[in-house]
Amino acid sequence: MRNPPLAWRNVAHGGRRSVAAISGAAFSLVMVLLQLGFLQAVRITATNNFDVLDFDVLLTSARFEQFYAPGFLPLERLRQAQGVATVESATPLYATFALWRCPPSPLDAPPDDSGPRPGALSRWLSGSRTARPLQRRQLYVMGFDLDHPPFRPPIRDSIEANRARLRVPNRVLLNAESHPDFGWQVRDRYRDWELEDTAVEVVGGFDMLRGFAADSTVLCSDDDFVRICGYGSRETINLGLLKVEPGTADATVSALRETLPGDVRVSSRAEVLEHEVDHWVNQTSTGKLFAVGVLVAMNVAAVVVYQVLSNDVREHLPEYATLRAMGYSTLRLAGILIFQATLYMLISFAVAVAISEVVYRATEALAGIPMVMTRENLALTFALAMAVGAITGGLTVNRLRSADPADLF
Amino acid sequence: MRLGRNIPLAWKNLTEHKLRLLASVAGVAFATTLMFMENGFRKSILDSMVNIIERIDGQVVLVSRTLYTLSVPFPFPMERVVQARGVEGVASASPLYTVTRSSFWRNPETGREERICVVGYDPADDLLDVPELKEDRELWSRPDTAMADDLSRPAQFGEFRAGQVSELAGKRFEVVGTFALGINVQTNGNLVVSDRNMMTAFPELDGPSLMDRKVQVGVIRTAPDADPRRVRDALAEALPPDVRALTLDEFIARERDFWDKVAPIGTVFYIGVVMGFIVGSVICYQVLYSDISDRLPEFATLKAIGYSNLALYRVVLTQALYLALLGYAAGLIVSHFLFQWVNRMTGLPMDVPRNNPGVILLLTVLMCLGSGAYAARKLISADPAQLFA
Repeated sequence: MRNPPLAWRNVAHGGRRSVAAISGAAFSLVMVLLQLGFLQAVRITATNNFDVLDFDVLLTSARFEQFYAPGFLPLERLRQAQGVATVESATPLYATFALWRCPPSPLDAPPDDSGPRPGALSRWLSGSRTARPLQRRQLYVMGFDLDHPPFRPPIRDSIEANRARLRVPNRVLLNAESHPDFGWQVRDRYRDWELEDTAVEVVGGFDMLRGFAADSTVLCSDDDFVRICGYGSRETINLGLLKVEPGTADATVSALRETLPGDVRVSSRAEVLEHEVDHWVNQTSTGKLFAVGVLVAMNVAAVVVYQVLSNDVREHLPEYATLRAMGYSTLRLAGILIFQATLYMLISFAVAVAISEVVYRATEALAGIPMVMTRENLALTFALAMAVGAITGGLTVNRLRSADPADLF
Repeated sequence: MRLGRNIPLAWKNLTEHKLRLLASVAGVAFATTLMFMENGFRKSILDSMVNIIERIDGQVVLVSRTLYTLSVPFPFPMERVVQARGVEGVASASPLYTVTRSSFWRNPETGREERICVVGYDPADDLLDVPELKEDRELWSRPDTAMADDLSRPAQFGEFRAGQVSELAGKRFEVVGTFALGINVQTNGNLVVSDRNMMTAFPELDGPSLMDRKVQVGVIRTAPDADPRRVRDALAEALPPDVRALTLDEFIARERDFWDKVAPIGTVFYIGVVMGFIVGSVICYQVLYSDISDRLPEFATLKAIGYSNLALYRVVLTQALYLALLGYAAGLIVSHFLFQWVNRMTGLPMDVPRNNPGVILLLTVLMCLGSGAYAARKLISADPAQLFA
């Protein structure tokens, strides 16, 4: 055998040593993936709210901060916007936080609410069966014209399936992905729902991610919204959703900016999403904390991987010295070494992705935030792993020069 | 025969190669930093959520029965506060008003209206234990004046200073002084105003009569000889069930509990701490295992001259302990600077002493000893004869 696959054999026959090296590198990569996942969750929850809405151009109050603090604007601005030729339709969306009567659990014998709350783990394990007192908690309510629901499928489909039922006053749809405290799981056995001070009936559900800001969402007709949330009339709205003729979004935005008074902000879809991500990732402390988390995890991963690989070389030094004595050039040994480092990182990366998948699902279940392993994050982690692997491999080549066959004995 | 009595073998093993020691300590230090960071983030968020409550100068509070977090308005009528004054053991009962979601301050520099948290109470009551608020009492008792939090997010509010004139809730207000309270994940800025100014700015809090005003927290000072828990029970007995009496500590605990256990934020960082611990354990195992492998001949020789497995175990565990302590010390220093940086960046309260340094030390030692014990299993197989195989 002229060219035994030495790098591969080193890894494959390393036994516990290889396992230790791979698990060390893998777990630090898991940490990186986890932190990236947290940051991604902030992005996803930021854009998801607008992703479910069907619009090309958005009208908001000049006070607009983010989806959950939109400010108010007069409905009149929407009528004015319809005067612009390229605007096909303009639909108002009413949206605000409101109080929801969360059913107790168990329904017939709620616990006293002065005791300590169960932790996330026990909540997750017992799910909707977690003992909890009757509570009024905040959720996000959105009201809209039932004949023109400004949502994209699948939420639009859920609305259309329940449209007839929603026409009866005080009927709502509850987010099926709500925090279990909000009672979606016991909807068949519970009747005493209340939104603000009004008794309501849950006639169906829809699927919308919940995020860091709202634990649940409720949809209802604009008439119900205005009455229940105390808006007084339909003339004050929170968001104006415009559909425009295809390809005219940018032109419409500039036309609207000229037409409409200064109390309105006009944004294209892309601008809204960018603003929202910027707000949650760069302006809030949550986003910043996760960004720091990513940075620190990457440093830790680099240190650990270096540690793992340089240990490995040191342990194989006698073998390398023997190989040199047999006539292998330093260059050839360096090649083996770097190849081996790459091999370690490839295996570690694969293991890390598998472990992360488990950790992601656990986080999703425990914290109720969407954890998605995006291609970008995978590529970033992979690049980090490869770069650190190659650099470490390169750095340890120096050691080889000192691999003197005579030392062996 | 006990090993290491005369020769600090564990220490010598650890420090034989300086570069290697550096790498090992760096590994443990980073694991410690990870745990510090995740735990610190969690704690700082929880601490920041109770920053206002912690400053309340009173022993017992009245809150609405339905209140689950202070950042959601759950008002109750002022009448309850007045009723509380008649309860035995109550020295004084005063209303505290808050508006967190619907209050806007116009940044005088950019002209943009920014959401701000407004707290209102009678300046004479000194409900918040903040020195500047007590000293400047006369100033912010005047109509249309407010005290502003220095620690509000500069990107939104610019720099607050006395004499600034702008709008709160669309009405002209003057900043007459600043104080330091801090922000949290719900609010990016704070203003404190007098109860009268509160009613001017937010007429929705006012009612047909004084008794109907919408109070968020009733702050109760107990008589000097009264036990706060007794007073709490007496209040619960005397008042209608729409309000709940809590000692201040209970109130703080409830608020933290909500953000820690119910909101996703606390859970996310818990997962971070656990992951940090696992990563740290793997690093330690890696360090100690490769060290033992390297020294197997030495250990085998020691065994040959009569040292027991237990004695060798002790050497490895001592070495693990040293590694833990060195790594912890280094991690502490790194975390300190990391926290300072995060504090500057986010305005969240972050410092090492508040973030359970003891618990992290315990975790670090556990992590190193655990992986040391696991790695040391190899010693049992250390056969002197192998030396010459």
